Amino acid sequence: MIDPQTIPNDPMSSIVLRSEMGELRRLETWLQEFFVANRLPETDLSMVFLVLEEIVSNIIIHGYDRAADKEILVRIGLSEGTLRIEFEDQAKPFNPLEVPPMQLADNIQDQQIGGLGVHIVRNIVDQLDYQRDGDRNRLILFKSASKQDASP
Amino acid sequence: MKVNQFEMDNVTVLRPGERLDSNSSEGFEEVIEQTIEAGKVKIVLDLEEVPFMSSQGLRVILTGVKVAKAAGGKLVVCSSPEAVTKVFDITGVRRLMGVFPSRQDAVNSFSESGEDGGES
Repeated sequence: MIDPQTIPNDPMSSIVLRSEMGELRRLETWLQEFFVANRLPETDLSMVFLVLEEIVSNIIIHGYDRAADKEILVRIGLSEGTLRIEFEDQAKPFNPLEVPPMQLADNIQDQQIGGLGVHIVRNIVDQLDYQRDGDRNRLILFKSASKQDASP
Repeated sequence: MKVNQFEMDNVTVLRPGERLDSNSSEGFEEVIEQTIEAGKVKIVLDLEEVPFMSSQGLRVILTGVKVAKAAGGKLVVCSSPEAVTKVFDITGVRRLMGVFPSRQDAVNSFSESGEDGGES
């Protein structure tokens, strides 16, 4: 079915995953295909997949408490050089924007080791939006497809 | 989890042979724990054969850095492919641990007095 809202020049793809860690391999293949089809640089692929892996494994482990009969919808679109990635699940409410930023200590002995997943996602994407919609979490990320990742 | 292990100049080198993600990191954590418990507290993690690392892999490495230091030793990493090095860069954890371009540089860092950090 053709969505009249979809502009033909803006490619989009979606995948429904079962809430099992083994699904991450299928997610990676799906993302690779999107990158190849849209001639996106391979250098961005590993960072974008890292974001997908962090969010999906977080939903499976913490959101669904590893219950295997649940679903996660992932949608990706590309418009004017910006990737828009959307995640939808029916797990308990979780707003990653409410996770306090990780504080880096001056030495390893003082470092709290936790919250690394959200820290990684925040440092890769350009924008992060969250909505709770009925019984669903909807997380939307934006990332410039040509963004340089190495910052500090 | 397949991890090659060998000694170089009294330093223990651990060389995992697959990605460090939520599926594999627990097994790798056990290998590091057992190494430190056996009294081998000078450790190099050679990441050349690790094509991908998630936050779970990074958590295991940082925990290893912390535990090795508490035990009077040191744990550093080396030879990471670009996708893994980027994770060390974007998270800012390089200030907390040694990240070396080659295994020899990493091993040499143990003979330099009081040297904690690394360059790559």
